[in-house]
Formats: sequence, structure tokens, C-alpha cells
Amino acid sequence: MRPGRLSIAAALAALLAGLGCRENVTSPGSCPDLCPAGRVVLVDTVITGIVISDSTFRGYYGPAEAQDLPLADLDSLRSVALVRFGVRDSIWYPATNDTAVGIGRVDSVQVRITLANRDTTATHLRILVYHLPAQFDTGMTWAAVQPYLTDSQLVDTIKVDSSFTGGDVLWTFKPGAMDVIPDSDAGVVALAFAVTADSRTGLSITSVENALGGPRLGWFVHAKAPRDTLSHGFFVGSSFDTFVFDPPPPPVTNALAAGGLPSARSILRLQLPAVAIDSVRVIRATLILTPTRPARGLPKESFLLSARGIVRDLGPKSVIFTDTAAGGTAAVATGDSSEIHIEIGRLLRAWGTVAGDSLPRAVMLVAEPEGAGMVEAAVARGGAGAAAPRLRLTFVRPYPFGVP
Amino acid sequence: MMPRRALLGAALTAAAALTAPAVARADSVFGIRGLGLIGRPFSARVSSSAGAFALFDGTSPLNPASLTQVTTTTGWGTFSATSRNFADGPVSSALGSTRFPLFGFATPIGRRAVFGVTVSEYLDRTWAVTTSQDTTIRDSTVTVSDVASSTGGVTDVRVAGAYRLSDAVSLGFGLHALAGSTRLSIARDFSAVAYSNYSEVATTSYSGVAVSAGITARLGPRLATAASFRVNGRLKATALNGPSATIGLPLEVSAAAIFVPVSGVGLAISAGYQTWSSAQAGLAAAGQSGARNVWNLAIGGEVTALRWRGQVLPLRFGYRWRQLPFGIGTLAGSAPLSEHALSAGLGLAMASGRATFDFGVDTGSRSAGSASERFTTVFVGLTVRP
Repeated sequence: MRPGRLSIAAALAALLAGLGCRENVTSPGSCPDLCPAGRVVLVDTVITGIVISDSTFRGYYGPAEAQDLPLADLDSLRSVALVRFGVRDSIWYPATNDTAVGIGRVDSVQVRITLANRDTTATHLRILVYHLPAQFDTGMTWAAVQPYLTDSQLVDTIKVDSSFTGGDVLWTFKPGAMDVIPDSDAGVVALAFAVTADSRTGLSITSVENALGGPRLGWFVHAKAPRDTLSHGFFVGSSFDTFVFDPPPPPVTNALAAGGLPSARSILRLQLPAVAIDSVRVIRATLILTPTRPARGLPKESFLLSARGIVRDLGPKSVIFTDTAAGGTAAVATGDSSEIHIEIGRLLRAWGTVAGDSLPRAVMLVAEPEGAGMVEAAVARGGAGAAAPRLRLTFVRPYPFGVP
Repeated sequence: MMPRRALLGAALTAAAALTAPAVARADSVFGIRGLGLIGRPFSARVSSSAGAFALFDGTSPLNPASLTQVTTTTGWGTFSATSRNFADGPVSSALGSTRFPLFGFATPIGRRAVFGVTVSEYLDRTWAVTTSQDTTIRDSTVTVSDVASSTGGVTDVRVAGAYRLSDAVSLGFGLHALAGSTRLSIARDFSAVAYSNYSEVATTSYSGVAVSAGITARLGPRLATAASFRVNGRLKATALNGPSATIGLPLEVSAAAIFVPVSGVGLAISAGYQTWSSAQAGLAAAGQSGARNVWNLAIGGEVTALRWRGQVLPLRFGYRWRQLPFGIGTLAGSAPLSEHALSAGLGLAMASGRATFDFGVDTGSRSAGSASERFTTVFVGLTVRP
């Protein structure tokens, strides 16, 4: 091609490209003349009688697996946290090529705890710290702890300022309270934490299972003579923690429970019409649960009640969707007694897919995360008539595409 | 026996025919009505003169007899880019699209016969409209936005032959297969996050057959005429999920004349008539508005007296008007749709005539009732004679 013609062709092609690179065929509808004849029709309805069987299980998570340890001095709940710390060394090496030196004098002992939540209405809040025998386990009971919650076992009282709502509390024990660890305990210290205030109250501190970590102890010491100018700090964290409480949780008979500790979880096995199980047309689906009593727990405590799809129905140990999106959650706070609404539209749409067709039509009511706190919700079972779980469903009727 | 290049071209065109539904079209908002927007499957050269020369153009599929204009193995294709502005009262929007409305191949067989295949648009059903409204769900007001769209249409695959009876008269015959599909979708977005967005898709496929015949006749050194006739069968539309419908398609008649007042100047006029009312019963049975019979008219000219760097530089121009069968309103004709446009263009021959670029522009409007759409389409056609 000659250069002249080539340049003309190129210029025309560029002009064309400028016009042609735009691809937009969507115009605003000028209805009804230039709109499709079909209309999107929404239907909103409440479906009752959806539960064909249900069951509640307690104890999937125990107090020793709790992320937060409740301390309570309530009429409805009394609770004490128990913490066994790691082994504290009795010697240290001042330098790499140095010889070991032993503890000569304890300057101070500090404890650090993290408040997960507290009742801000309580004044003169104090956390009482008691000595415990170093060796205890999950078999420890409320009654067994009582002999140690005496003045003779009291290590110290941690004062919590009224303005403090949560976070780390660093407290230096009174001199001599924790200086010596009996040889029989082999460097291990165990403590009990209780709470008191001007009024009945409760709070929770983080445990070793919590990402924030459990309680920690620190000893600041000087070495024995003649090297008594050397100083050092020993720090140990919680190696095991749990809590004991009273009264024990009531048996769940006429309700479905979820949350609390030992944790409760419930299974709802559902029978839904075909219109409710659709990967395309379900717009919103709300599982409505009616509490049988106000939610139990510490003051100001709350949790997320989750309705999660079940992959394999194995009772309390059912395999549930790991994806929290395959279900929904609703916040429940201590004392709540209003209807609980959980959005489960995504789960119903997942059931409506080819891959989800073989899944059991069942959901697990479970706290999220499970074992995190004391709040427990109890809702009406499937046979509870008007209070039984029901589904509010918003869906689209099949669109009349028509032919041609 | 066909030369090797002819066989290669035939193979390529056959392959293109197999992918016929992919042939894209010049879409319009008005394509939402009836069976869609009626295609204008012309080459860029013909489009530059408003289609007035279509019955004489071997690369346009309107008249099979015009294939005798092809004197050597030839392949061609047309590219178009359209910019549109739609308005209906306070509603307006600027739109644009890029399409390939025509490609084909033809080769002479002996001294008098020509065989050709074209793949072109017949019905365009590409459109999309969006609407928004407030609705009450669960005792709350939620704003919803709907987008309804259709992509695709019906493609015409023509296998045709032409025979030169004499130096003045040629006859042609074509077999047409109509094929294609549309992908219809509806989507609704909710302003409230509590509601999941909804979308649904349906696919409808189309099939049909047609035959066409045509003639070109030179009546003297300054006058030539042409005519074509096409009989369509019924268009069968089948949804992927089962329902189907058959729609009558029109008889199509076209005629044209070329007059050469002076050497290097050609003027043409063409007219056509299509009995689209035959689709009315089928559309009514499907709950859609009907259709009407329509006319089209085009006048245009081509000046070949100009030369540039030793090559003829054809300049083209034209005006066209046509009625479209599917108006707006509840019944056909309540607000009939019509279209008119001005066209212009030029051609560039290269490689000693082995390749030709044709450039054209077509600008006009179509309207029905208060709704109107202004459009400007740029065409580029490439014709190769290997």
C-alpha cells in the first residue's frame, strides 16, 4: 500500500475506532412502550410449620475452653475464674557465658489481666485474687473452690476504676503476698479471681484461648549475695484456665438453647416449600425465633446467635458450614426477650444450587464464636404453635420471558 | 473445478456460516418491539449510498442475480460502529456499539455462473433498558433498579448462484437459512443490602428457511434495472426450557434502477415492500403487539469521475427512508416506527485493485410517537480479490 493511502486508511480507521470502542446498549426504560412486557413480581409471605424435628445439646464447649472467663456476683449467677500459670524459674543467667544466679529478694509481683467487658454501672469494682493449690483440673467444682475463697487465702484486691470499660489491667500485689512459691508447687502458681462491687455485678476476663491472651504474672527480683546488685524479671502466662459457677445451667427441655457455657447448640431440621429453596429467586429469607425467656448472661454481655447450614447431620457434632456466609446471625444481649430475626437467604440459595441439592435441610443454632461468653438464648421449639420457628420469605415469581 | 483459493474462501465462509449467530447487528432501543429491528445487511459501499445500489451489488445479499458482478474470487466483510442518542420526553441516553453486519464470499464458475455465500443480519434483538422505582417491601420503602436486556438476533445465511443469460441480463437464485438466538436476562438490584440482587436468564433459539430470486437487466448504455423476490417460511422460536412459537415472516419484493446521465456518474433509486403483517397472528398469540407491512425507499449516487494517485476514487451519497414493522403501543400502527438517514462515503482501491477499502457514514433518526433515536453509523468494508 502506498504511504498516502495508508495514512488515509489509518486516519479513517482511527476515526472509526473512536466511535466504535464504546459499547453501551443500555438505555433508560421508556415504559410501557419500550419496556419488556414482563414484570418482576415480588412475594412476601410467612411460612409456618417449617420444623419437622429439633434438638438441643449442651457441653460442646466447656468452661476450660472458654475464650473469656466470667467473674460474677449476681443473684442469678456466681462465678470464679481459676488460672494456673506456667512454671516460674528460680534462677537465671545474667549473660551468655555467665553462671546461674538465684533469686535473693523479690522486689514486686505484678499481675496483668484483660477485661473483656464489665458492668459500667457497678461502682467500687474490685477483683479479689486468692491462692489456689497449684494442681487442679476441669473437675474442679464451685463447691470445691469455696474453701479457698477466704481471707486467709486472699492475695490482694485489684481495684478497677469506674471509668475503665475494658482492656489491660496491671496490678502490683502488696509486698510479700506472692514472694514465695512453696517448693511443693515446683514453681507453679494458681490463682482464683472473683469480683465484688457496691452492687451485684459481673465481668469477664480473657482466657488463654482468647487471641488477647490470658492473665500473666511477673516477678521483679534481685539476685542472691554476693551478686545482689543484679536484677531480673520473670514472666509467666496462663497455662490452664477455667471457671466454676453456680447455679448450674438449667436443663433445656421445652426450648432450644444456644450460647452460654457449657455451650448449648440446637439443630432445626426444616421442611420448606420448593419456592423457598431456589438459587435465583429467593430475595430475602428471615428465620424468626421466639424466646421462651430473657437471655441469660452477664450484665452488658452479648453474642451473635448464628443459624449455620449443616453439611452432615451428626447430632451435636454435626459438620456445619465453615463459611459464616452460609447462614446468618443476630445479636442477642443479656435480658433480650424480643423476637430473634436471622437472615438465612444465602443458605437457602446455596441449597437451591446443584451442589447444595443433597445437603440436609437443617440449620444449627450456635453462638458465634462458640464458647465465648455466658449469654444463652432459649427459643421456642417446633411444636410451640404460633411461637414456633417460622420463615419470612421474600421471593420473585418466575419471570415471564415469553417466546419469541 | 474451483481454483484452490476459491475452495479456501468457500471453506472460510462455511466456517463463518456455522457461527452465524455470532454475526452482530446494528441494535436499537426499538428492537424491544415485536421480532426486533429489521436488518440492513449491506456492504459498506452500498451503505454509503443509502442502499440504493443494493440490488446491483454482488457483495450485498439482497439480490442473488447481482452475484454476476463478481468477476473473480472475492471475499468481503463489513464493520460498523454506531453512536446513538435515544430520547423520549425527559428520558434520554447516549449509546454506542460495534458490529459486524455482513461477510461473504463468491467465486465465478465458468464464464457465466457465480456461486456465493453470505452471512448477514436479518433481525436484531439486542437491547437493554433500565428502570428504577420505589417499592414497599416488609413495610419499608426500597428503591429497586431493573435491567432487562436481550443480546442476539436472527442471522441470514444465504447460499446463492447467479447466471449471466447475456451481457445484459442475469438471473439468480438463493437458499436462505435463518438461525440465531437471543439471551434474555432480567436483573433487579435493591438499594437495601438486606435484599439479595436477582437475575434470571432465558435463551431462545430461532430457525427458519427462505428462498430468493432476482434479476438484473441492462436496458441500454445509461439505464439498468434489477428486482428481487424473497419468500420466507415461518420463523420457529424455541425457548431453552421448552415453549416454542412460530411466527410468519414476510414476502419481500424489491426493485431498483440505475441511470447514468454522464460517464462517471451513476444515480440509483430502489424501493422495497415487505408483508410483515404475516407476523401479526404469531405475535398476538404470544401476547405481543402486531406488525404491519412496510415500504422502504432509497436514492443515491456514485461519482467515479475523480481520480487520486492514478486510482479511481469513488464518492458516494444517498438518502433513505423506511418503515419498520413493529411500532410502539398496544397494536401495530398505533405509533408506527419509521427511519430516515443521509449517507456518504468513498472507496480506496489498493494493491492494484486486489483489495478495496470502502468507508461510509450513515446518519439519521428513527421515531415512533414521542420516542426517537438519532444515530450515526460508520462503516468500513474490506473486499479482497486474492
